[in-house]
Amino acid sequence: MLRPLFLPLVGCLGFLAAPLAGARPLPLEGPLALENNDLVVLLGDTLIERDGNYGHLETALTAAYAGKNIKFRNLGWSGDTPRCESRSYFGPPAEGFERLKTLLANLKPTVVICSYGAVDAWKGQAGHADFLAAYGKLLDMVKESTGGAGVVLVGPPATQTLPPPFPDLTTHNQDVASTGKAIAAFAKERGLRYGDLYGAMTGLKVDSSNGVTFTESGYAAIAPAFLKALQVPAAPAPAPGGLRGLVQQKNQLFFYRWRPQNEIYLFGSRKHEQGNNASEVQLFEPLVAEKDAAIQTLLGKK
Amino acid sequence: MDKRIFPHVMLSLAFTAPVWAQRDLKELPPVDPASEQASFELAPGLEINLFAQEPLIAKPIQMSWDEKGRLWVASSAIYPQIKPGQPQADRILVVEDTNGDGVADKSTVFYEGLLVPTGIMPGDGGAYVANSTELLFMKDTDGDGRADETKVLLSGFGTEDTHHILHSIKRGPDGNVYFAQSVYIHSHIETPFGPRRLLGSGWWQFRPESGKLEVFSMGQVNPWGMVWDQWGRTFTTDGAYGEGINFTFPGATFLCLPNQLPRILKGLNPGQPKQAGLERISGRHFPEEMQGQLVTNDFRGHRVNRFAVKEEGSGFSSQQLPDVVRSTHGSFRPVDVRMGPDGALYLADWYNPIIQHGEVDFHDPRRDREHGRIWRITAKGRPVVAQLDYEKLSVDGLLDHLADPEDWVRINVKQELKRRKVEGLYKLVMDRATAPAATPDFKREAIGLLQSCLLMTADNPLLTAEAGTDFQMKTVRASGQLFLDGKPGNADVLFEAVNSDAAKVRLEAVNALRRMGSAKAVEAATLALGKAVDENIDFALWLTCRELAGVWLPAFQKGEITFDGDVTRISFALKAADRPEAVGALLGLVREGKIPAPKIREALGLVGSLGSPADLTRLLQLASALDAAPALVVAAYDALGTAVKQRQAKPESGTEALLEKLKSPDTTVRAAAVRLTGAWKLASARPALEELAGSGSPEAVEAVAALGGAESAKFLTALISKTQDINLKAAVLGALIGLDAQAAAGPAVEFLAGLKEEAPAAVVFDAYLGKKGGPALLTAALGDRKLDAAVATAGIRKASATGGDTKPLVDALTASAGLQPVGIGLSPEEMTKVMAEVKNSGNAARGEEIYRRKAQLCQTCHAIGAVGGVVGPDLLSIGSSAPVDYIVDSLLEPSKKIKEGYATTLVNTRDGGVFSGFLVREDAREVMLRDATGVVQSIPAADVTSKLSIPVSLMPPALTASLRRDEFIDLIRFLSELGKEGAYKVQADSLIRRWQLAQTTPELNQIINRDGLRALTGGEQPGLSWTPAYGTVKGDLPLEDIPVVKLYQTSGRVAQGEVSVTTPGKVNLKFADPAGIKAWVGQQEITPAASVTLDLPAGKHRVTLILDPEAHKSPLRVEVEAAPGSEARVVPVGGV
Repeated sequence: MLRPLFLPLVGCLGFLAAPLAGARPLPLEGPLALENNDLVVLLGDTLIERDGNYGHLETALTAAYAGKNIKFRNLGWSGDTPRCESRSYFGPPAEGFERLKTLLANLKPTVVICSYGAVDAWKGQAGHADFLAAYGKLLDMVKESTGGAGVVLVGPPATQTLPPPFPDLTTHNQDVASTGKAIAAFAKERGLRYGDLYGAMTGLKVDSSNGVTFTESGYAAIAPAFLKALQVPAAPAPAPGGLRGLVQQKNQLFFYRWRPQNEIYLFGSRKHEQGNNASEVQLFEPLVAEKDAAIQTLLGKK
Repeated sequence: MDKRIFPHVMLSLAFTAPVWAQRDLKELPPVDPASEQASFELAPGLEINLFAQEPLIAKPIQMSWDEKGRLWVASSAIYPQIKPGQPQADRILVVEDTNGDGVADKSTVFYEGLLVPTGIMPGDGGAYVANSTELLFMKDTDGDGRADETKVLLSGFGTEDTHHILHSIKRGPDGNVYFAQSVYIHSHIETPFGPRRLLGSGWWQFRPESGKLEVFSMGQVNPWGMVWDQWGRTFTTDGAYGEGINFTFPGATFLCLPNQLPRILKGLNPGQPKQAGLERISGRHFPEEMQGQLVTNDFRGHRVNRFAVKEEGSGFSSQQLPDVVRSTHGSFRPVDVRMGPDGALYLADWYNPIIQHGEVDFHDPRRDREHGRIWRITAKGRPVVAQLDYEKLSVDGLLDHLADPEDWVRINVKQELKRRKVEGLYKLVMDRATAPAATPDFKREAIGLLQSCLLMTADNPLLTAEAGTDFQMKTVRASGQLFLDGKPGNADVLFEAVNSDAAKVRLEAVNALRRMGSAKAVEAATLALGKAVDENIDFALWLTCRELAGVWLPAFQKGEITFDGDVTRISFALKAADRPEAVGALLGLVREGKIPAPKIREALGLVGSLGSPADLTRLLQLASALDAAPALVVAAYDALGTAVKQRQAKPESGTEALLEKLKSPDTTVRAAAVRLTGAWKLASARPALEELAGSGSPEAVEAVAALGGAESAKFLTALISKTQDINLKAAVLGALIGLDAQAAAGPAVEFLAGLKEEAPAAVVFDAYLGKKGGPALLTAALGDRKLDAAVATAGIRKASATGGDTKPLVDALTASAGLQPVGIGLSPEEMTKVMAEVKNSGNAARGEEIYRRKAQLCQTCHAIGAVGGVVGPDLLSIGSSAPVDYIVDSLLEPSKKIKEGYATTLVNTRDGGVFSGFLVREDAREVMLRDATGVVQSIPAADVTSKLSIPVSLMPPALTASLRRDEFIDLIRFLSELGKEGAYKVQADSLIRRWQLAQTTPELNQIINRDGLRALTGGEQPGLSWTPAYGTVKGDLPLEDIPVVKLYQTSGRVAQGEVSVTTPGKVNLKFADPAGIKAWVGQQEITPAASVTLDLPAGKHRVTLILDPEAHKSPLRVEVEAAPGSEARVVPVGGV
């Protein structure tokens, strides 16, 4: 039996647009058509988590759909896999899985953009079967907990070999490519859209801190490739100045909300000591909403 | 900042805060630095001055000097928790003393915008910053002193507890960057070498140049302080656990919650308070006698501790020296300590009346968020060290300082040379290091320099040329690091070193071979068993064989490695591997008689835990052999019992062979056979078991119960009335409750009502509490029957410590003995009143007497300074770390305040069993819980259906129920004084504080008549009974605590202590009052005196004393220490 997880989130994220639950199929081909009032969750590993800080990917997406009111929520977690290994805190990965399930059920996103595979690529071809089986379970859970949100699978980004003493990642990069291919085939089987980020990064010079994780300017370079992989339509106008700043501020506030520090005191085994402060994290919600509104205002609505 | 948020926050504070705000505010110490400084008591020869204070700095957590002599400070006003609407504005500050007068006069905000930064290290042209989930590298590219470029180097560090997050960044002498995370943190990090995860505490080793990140050591509750000696050996301290200095070699693993490995290492100073930050005194400013001393902070006790470490075996012993500084100022919180560029010692003073954040609300207004100090300690009358201008020195000039006596200069020189990317550096260094005039110090540092500049290779002549012991140790560590850096290493160096005569070299060799990682490396590592194997080497080798089992076991099975056919090495490796593949080989060794008798039990235990049914069949055959030694049979049967209990594994055939052994004339064999028939539920054994049960065998009672069914219940029910012995009767009842709790309820209550003894009652309570629905059945059956207070208290204690709904049972038991019910917490007004009484009329001396009362049970579970029970936290410094109201709450409502690592874990098993206790360890095989009586239980993992961590304390709430109000106030006063400066701080003395006291038994007189008084010197033996007793905080054992026993023709008080000698030599045993004492050390009688000098070999020695009631009238007080000038190391043995 598992601990009830993330109970404090139950029923307190209702302010987030509250879109209708129900299937939201995304056509397999053609431009990615996000709609007015979509709530898009970005789910994945380090690639996604760090975009929370930098905001380049999200800003580019926001600008591309500037005519529509779309909200983004970043649920990336460094080192994560479809087993939710990074989300487990004190328990086994299954607890992280349950935690994400509850979180998604409360957020009720209409679209989930998943980027996994960078961590499992280290296991090479031999790891594909296990990885995809776990991915399948994760996607079943996403479907169930969101009432059928539209899903896009993005393959892992290409890695780079930096000068020694950084390691030569040539072989690993081939494993990354083959992991991407395996995800593509898997997406096809499940009737899901696939975004070939690795392919879209071909020939791209991307600044990274170690060959596998990217710097702020690296994200700026990846953003067009990310949009290309997702087949996002061209932006009607360049992103207005200050948009990325607002996106970053909103993401920081949302991070405080869904991954607050002192988990053990607020919700875990020492909540008898500081659990009284757990409700305080809900006070970040109106602050997140304000930033959402400011983004829309900046984009010229209302 | 968003203003609208504030009304919400203020409103929510209004409900929680005023009580705090009003209660203790008056007691906040004065904030002016002068009054803080006036409170300092310094070691002789030292002086202290204020280097920096607010507004130059505030709330320092870690500090670190750069090569320009500027002090970088990580500062957090947000800690412990950001509030909605609060800007993320924590800072990195850079403080300078521009005129060299020893006082800072300039401060620059390098960066503002962090979230609880707990680590800072300048270097590589910027600064490494620990920022909650990330390790950042920040740079000032335009020279204005402010960071304008930030790179995330690593991300994915956990933040489950903000005093555990990524912290304490330090540069090692090998050029690596080290940092720690603590016990609640779970980190998941993507690196160019693959993902790295650390679930729990440990120290990381990071090489920024290559992106390589590895776990250097694991465990410790809040690892917080790391330093190296001149040879690069690592020491660490723990900010939340009390073992002082930890010798931390690569792979060393200490306590974790729960433990990650089945075995762990210990610190060098058990019984210490918790310590933060660690520095080593080096350099020419401090006098010779202080060189090499380790300095760390007891921030709870407002003092800065000091230790001297000395090589011992492959590691060290550590001795505490007088404090560097101690204070009575309640806000003096030294948390970091560093040698400065002028050779002075600097302290970062977090300055706060409140520390930690479990006990006190996150937003308690008493938390200081503005102040902070850096103190500077110098040696009186000695010149400071001239600061080097590294940038201006030539390469040769820098090399001239490579082996300077100042630790920090040696690191700065290496980093400066690395920064310059000097062309031809390798040759320059090697020319100087291999010249005839090169000093050993220079060669040693040359290795570190080449490592720092990533120029070290396996064929470097420095790694092989020298065989000097310390130097060889250094070369071996460096060779091991090569493997870790993914470079080819030099195996020959390691193969030679593992045979070294010096234990410290062998330890490094085993660790380096582990890093080498091949089957051959494991095979070679086991050669270390050929020489003396101490705890460190044993652990390192065990870890090597275990971690690399997947590599060496297949190679061994294929015959690629043979361990030279050496059974000692093979069996060590197989046992450490702890894998099913190892079992067959191990069993073969036992059968061939190649495993020495004392090791057989352990070896067969592994077969039981891991063996296949075929292996178990062979094991049973082995035990069934006619000539099998009884010890082997017992070990084999117990192992077979483990196999079936842990994982339902049984031999394929031949189980009936057991019936014969039920008739064995050897009682130990018979008992083991009985246990195994029960475990196997061998129905054909019923008649034999019933017969044995009827003749009083408790094992047989359990075995009959294990057979199960109505037949067993009927037999046991009938047996109850036939049984007279209360312990056996309790066993029968316990067994029956397991089978049919309903039917047993009547007889059980009948039994309890007639009892006065706790132990048999506990058996019955345990049986009911361990069964689903059990407590309700017992409550109902209890009705309004009256129970003895001791019996009821035992039940309350057991029931309170269980996770389920046991309140009705606790209420019923409380009523049954007419115990005073305990109030559920105090109202704020009552609490204020209690606190005032504690302060005004509480008497700590009387409180200590109450604490020591047997019936109060305090000492059963708690130690004070590692002397006493281990079930609850050590109370050594409770008074200096916890506010009075926290202590009151802890006693009245233990579950409201649970110290980290003391939460209760509740386990349900498939057969409806319920277990609760402190989670010691869990793995794929078993879950281990320590219950409220200190007993560790193993529950097979396969049986566990759920495991919950529940916010329930193992401490029963009823413990203070029997106290009068004034007694309660005195007890609180005593606890609140513990660890504060004064009479209730455990001193760093070496008094024997843990004693065993002889009790009267029916056989005692007879034994003394037969063997003389000397019989008492042997400790445990049949017919003698000893109970533990612990000295007072001051170190005395009051005479009235020691019973006078009749000793044939005489009588006396018999107390037995123990001392542990780790380095043999002359030792002084000092009696505060030698009058009327007969004494033995070991078997040898000595004549007590103020000081008796003894020459003791290494090992533990019992000190047995008989006090003449007529002649000895003062409390017992005995101290042990090395005789002046002696090399000996001796400490009194503490513990339970």
